Amino acid sequence: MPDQDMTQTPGRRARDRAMAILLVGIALLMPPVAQVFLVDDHILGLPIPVLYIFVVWGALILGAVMISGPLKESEAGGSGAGGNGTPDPQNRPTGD
Amino acid sequence: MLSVNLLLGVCLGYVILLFAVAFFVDRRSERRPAGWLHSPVVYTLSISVYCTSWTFYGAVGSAARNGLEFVTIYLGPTLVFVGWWWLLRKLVRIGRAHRVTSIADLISSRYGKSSSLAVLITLIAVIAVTPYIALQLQSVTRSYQVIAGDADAMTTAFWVAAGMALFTILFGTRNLDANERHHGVVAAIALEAIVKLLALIAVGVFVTYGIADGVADVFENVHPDTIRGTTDIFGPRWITLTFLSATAIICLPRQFQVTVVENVEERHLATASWLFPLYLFGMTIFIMPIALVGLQVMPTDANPDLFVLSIPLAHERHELALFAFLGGFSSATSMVIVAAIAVSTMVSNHIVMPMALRLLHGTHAVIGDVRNLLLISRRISIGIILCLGFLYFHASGGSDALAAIGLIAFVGVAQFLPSLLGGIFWRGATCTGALSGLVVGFALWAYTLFLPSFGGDVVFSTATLTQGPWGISLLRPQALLGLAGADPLVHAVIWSVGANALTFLIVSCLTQATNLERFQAAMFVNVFRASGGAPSTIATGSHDTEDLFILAQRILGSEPARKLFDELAEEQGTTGLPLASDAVFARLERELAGSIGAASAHAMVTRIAGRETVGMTDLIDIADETQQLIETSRQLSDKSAELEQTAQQLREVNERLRTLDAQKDEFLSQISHELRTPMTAIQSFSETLITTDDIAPNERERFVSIIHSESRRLTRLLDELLDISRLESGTMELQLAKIEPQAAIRQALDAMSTMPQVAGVDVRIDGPSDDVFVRANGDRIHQVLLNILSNAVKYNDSDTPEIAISTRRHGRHVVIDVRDNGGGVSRDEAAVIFEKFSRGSKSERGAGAGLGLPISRTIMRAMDGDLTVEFDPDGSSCFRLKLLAA
Repeated sequence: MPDQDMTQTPGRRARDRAMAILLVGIALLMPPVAQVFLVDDHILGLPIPVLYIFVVWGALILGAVMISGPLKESEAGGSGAGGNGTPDPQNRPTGD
Repeated sequence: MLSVNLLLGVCLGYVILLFAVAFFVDRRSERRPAGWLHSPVVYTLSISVYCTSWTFYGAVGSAARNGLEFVTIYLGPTLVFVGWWWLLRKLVRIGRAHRVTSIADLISSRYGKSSSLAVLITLIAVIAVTPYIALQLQSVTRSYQVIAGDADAMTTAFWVAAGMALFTILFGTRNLDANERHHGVVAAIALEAIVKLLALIAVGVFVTYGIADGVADVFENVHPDTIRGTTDIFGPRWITLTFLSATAIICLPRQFQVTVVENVEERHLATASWLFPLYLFGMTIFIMPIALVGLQVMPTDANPDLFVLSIPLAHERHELALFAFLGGFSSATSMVIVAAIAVSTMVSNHIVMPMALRLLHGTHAVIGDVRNLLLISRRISIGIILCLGFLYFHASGGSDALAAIGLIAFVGVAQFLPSLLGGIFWRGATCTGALSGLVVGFALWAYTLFLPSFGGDVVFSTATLTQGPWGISLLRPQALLGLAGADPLVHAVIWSVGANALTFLIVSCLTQATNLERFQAAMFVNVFRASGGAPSTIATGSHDTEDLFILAQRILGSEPARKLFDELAEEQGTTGLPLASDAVFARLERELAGSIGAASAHAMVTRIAGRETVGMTDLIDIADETQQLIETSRQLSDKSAELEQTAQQLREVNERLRTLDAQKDEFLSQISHELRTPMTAIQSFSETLITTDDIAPNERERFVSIIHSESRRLTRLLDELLDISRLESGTMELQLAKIEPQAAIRQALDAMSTMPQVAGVDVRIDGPSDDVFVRANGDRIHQVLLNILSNAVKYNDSDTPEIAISTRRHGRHVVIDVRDNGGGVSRDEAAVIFEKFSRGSKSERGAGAGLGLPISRTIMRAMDGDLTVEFDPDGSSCFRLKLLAA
């Protein structure tokens, strides 16, 4: 059986984008970039290092939300390789 | 103060609720194996078992002590889920295709279903997880003590452990699901995940807005060092902790259980890729405020690890404290339950089952009631693991040393990472490599981190820790080979994970994989290409499907086994039992693997099949072999090109040989012809002389002179032949001397003066003064000149014959051109006159054997010179002798 998702463009593109997010995330959250934001000042009442880390974190989550759409499409074809693959109607967003 | 009775009552109620949920879901999924319970949200919530009481209570403590550092524990998993979900997806796909039951099962299955690897991983998991479980018991006990006052820690911990064991046994081993999934447990875990998140947020909101006056107020007078912690915050420890937590989310047995084994649908990962990081974000957002406010409002001796609980209590918010207690209780119980299920599966599949198999080895086909044995062994394993956790807690006396155990466990399970990643991305990884890497990594982990963590004089003496064993400072556990100055955790990670990965790589490169390993490697690495492909097949031997059926019944239960075999028979188009084919074996092995692990399933089925090896014909199907075939065919085509080239060379050599052979034949026939002519003359004249008596004396004299001249000719011919053969074979060494060419020419002309034709020839000699010399053999150059000059005279048909001899220096050579006005040789003739026995158009029969010019050229070449025919632009030609100048 030919490759079901890897040859499909959305899956591969999602993978490449995820890779990009991963690399950007590592670059931003690790030294030396993170050290740039190690300043003793406050923005909106929050210390800059704390604000920086949580903002990057939030941005990473947003990025993941954006690429999870095509990913889900590509996975719809690839799942059910052996399980009781009744498709779930939709993904309910969480309350909080 | 909260009353203990109320606390116990609420706890009991909560546990009953969890039981009810688990029971309800299990029932429901038996009847209808789908629905909202199989939603990606439930899946994601179950992954949040990552957040244990270490997060719920410990993160605040960590934030109070080390500032922002606690975030790393959640950044690692975030990075994995947002950016590396395709690794998880690959694990999930492999898990489904091979009915993987645990991380030990996956790794051992990848490396040729190696049972020793499975046992090793199981042992590491037990050793790493036991203290972690103890930590959960401690946190529940402590939080209980905070509310209930001085309850006995050990008694509380014991009852907590016992309760958890009961819950786990009830819902974790109710049946042997083919896919090792526990829907009821997952649902209960998901409920607990919501409770702990809401509890932490509730406390956070209360602290931030109830005690402090909003976020800005919380951070207003905070000293920067409180945020930075004591060390350089974004330093090596930051990187190491992020790496460790990223590793843990992949390698922790309980995470593997919920992420891979309990995964119902692959696409749920797509939701989890952002929802799980969001959950972690929610869990951590209020950690910093709680810690900072706690440091401000709580007495200095208050334990920051319990701020989540003690702050509401101190502010008389009992209902919030109770909720927080339930949150902590949820985090602890969910971790313990899932970890116990995951590890007990490993223990029973990889340690108890193989031992049982070995004990029952003698009884062919009758393997005992494996199904019951499995359930019992799994229950006992759960009991043992919780017992170990309790004993560890007991031994450590509930000390603060436990707080660091979370990270120590992370480093322990990080040892799985090289083998795991290598196994699913690198086909060259071998079982020996994985085993060696794990042993080295585990040993270094124990030596540099785990054993020293007990503190001085427990395992290592204080002296050993500070000065190294036997005073050898290079072996100091926390400064191995002099690597001092690093944080002990960073030090341990660099040593253990680094050495593990290197050993794994090097040993894998040096060792050979077995057929089964290579097969599994191809199946795992290319799982997306070989989707749903058959796992390893077993060559059919002499066996009976009945044995297989009995085996399936024992492990899967009668009804599922009956269903499976009916299905198999239907696929084959037969009724009753299916025929024992490779497909049947493979399918059965896969089904059994879901219950007892790949290694045990493989061992059982192969025992019935009677053969362990994978047939080569099966291997050809897989990509690995295809690649080898491509390689082989490339080599073959290279070889065939090489052969073609050799054949071409052979053809050329053959052609030359043929030509040479023809030349030799021609040469021989010419020689015999040349020899025959004088011989015939000699023979006939001598016969006449013998047979005829009355011959006139003058006639007799004439005959004798003919015989004489012919025999001289014969001798000359033979001399020439001998000459040429010696010259050509190189056996004749020519002694070279410094010779004046003009003198040699004059000498040759003098020698020719007796020839009748020479009389009327006008000879002109041009050339430089006498100071030109050549390196040549005097006799031989004379011979050559004589030959060339006599030819010039003999074949000159001009009325006024002229010969011009010019000598000049040309670079390193001296060139002698001999030119006559007799028409010279044509270009066609020039091509052949140096061949033996060829004669120019002007020579008549009997004038010579045609060896003069070939001999001359051979002589010239033997003297490092040459003899050629040169043509002027006007068509006239000359013989050119070339010699090295002396």
